[in-house]
Amino acid sequence: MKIAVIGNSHIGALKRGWDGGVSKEYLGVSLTFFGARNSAISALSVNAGRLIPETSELAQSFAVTSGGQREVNAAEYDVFLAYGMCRELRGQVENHAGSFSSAALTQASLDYWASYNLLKTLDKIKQATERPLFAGHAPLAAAQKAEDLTQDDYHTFLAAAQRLVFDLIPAKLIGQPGATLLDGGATRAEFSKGSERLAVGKPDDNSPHIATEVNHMNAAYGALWLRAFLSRVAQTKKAAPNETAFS
Amino acid sequence: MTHPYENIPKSAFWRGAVAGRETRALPGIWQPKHPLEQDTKVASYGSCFAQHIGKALAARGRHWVQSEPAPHGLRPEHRAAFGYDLFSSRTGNIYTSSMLLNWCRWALMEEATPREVWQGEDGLIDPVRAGLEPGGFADRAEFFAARQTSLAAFRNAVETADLFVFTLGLTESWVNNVTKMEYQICPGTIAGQFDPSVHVFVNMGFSEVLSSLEAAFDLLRAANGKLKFLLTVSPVPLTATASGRHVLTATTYSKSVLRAVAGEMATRHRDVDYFPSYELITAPTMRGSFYSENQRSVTPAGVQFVMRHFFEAEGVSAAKPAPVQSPSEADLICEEEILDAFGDTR
Repeated sequence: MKIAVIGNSHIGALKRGWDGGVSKEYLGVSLTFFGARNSAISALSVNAGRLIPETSELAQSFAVTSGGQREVNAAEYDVFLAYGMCRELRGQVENHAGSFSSAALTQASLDYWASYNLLKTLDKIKQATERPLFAGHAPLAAAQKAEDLTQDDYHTFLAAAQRLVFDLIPAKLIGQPGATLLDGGATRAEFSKGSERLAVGKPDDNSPHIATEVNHMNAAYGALWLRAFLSRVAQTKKAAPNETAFS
Repeated sequence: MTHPYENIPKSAFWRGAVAGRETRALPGIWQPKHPLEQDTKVASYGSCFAQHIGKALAARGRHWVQSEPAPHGLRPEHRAAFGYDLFSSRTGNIYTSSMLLNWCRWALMEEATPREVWQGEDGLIDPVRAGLEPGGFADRAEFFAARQTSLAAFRNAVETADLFVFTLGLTESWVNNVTKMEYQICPGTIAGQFDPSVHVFVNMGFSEVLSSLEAAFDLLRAANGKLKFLLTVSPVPLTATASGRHVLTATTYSKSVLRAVAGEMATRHRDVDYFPSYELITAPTMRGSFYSENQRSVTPAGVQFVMRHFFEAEGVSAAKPAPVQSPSEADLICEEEILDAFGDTR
């Protein structure tokens, strides 16, 4: 099974997790990463089943992260994962722990996701292929001390996002593994230690993030996340064995 | 022979202070009783025009109390549509002094709120804040939970604030003569069904507005002993009147009553001040130029003009920290404007 992973700097943790050992656990699976830092991924257009960078910066980033490919030929992949490309997710979890009307919550969810490249990128992938789509949000920021949000709040948020936004694409939204959650709104601090910049062909490739960086995660996080993701992919395949994408 | 007019300031003479000025600005029109400090916490409520105040304060880095924040991620235009970021909590427009008294009783005295619910096309509409939930609430549980949230937020804003700004908007309202509930807007306009045997038109006079405002402020003082008050009167004319008078004379009546009450309150109480936003927009020297084409809505330039006088009197520089982003007419949420639609059928 060939999986294309498309995203921003957060795919760095997944790539390190994959290269660091997870790939050996899934011998029939190959992952190809197409990433760029910040919001460079927004310069992506769709043409004849291909996702084509509109800037040389994005094409160069794709070439470095994928191992030579400057665009995504959708026909070459069975499954697509769009990853990261959103920020300040804790607020969305807080919404579901707060006292808001269902209409206000729905609108806030729609507004939030519409403003980030995760949803826009999924939409572009959908234009290029009918293969199964998966999504992973950027990690919740790491923290040392748990606060008042519970994992139930987090799962309520995930379910609502799936129902209100991702079902419409359709794409399956994969949450953070429970082992990475400090509470419902933060990642355990150990997973942000040792995180490194995504290698995109720049001088600071693979350099460590500053010590106070809490938004990017390390290879251990990436490994846990990928296992959870690949488990969901397998479940999906089992539930739909005749799906041509998985044949 | 001398007389009192020989020794009064220039600002006391119309020709020099108003008519003879080279610019429209009216420096010295207001001397704040309670100067705004950098950390003064300001709560704001009232009619549509009051929606400008909080945003102007926040734009200048001042502490505008917002005790009922919007859900994270909600875009600004949707925040306004859902009644967030308009006032210090999600009351919707409080057009009358009697409705302010109701909010104070419900939130500060824990009096029971009305149980009447209007059925909208897609959900339940709150008759005391009819315009703030697009589509309406999903069910009664959500409806009343949301109201309790807003009452708690109102109480929190009152207890937190140093200055309570209230803009008086209307004297006219509709009341249920069985439950005595005051509606934010006439039943049957946005939602609900009008029943002439139940729904009664009220047009408050000076004494009624004054007594309800006194009662409201007493409750506010009881909740927060350090609270100061700033009254303003909306310069926005009535959209429509049910008084039987011409809408222009009805407007003059309402605004005159409200302006007189505001003046009376400021004269009676050391903790109550009056800011003349009404005069700044309606003065003859402005020649109506601060009204938009409908001769009713105040233009963004008019709002800027008012807020500039407010902040200059407070000694707050217009240059820092950011230009005021006053809501445009389209950004304001004014339920009463729905009445305008009924004028076309006449």
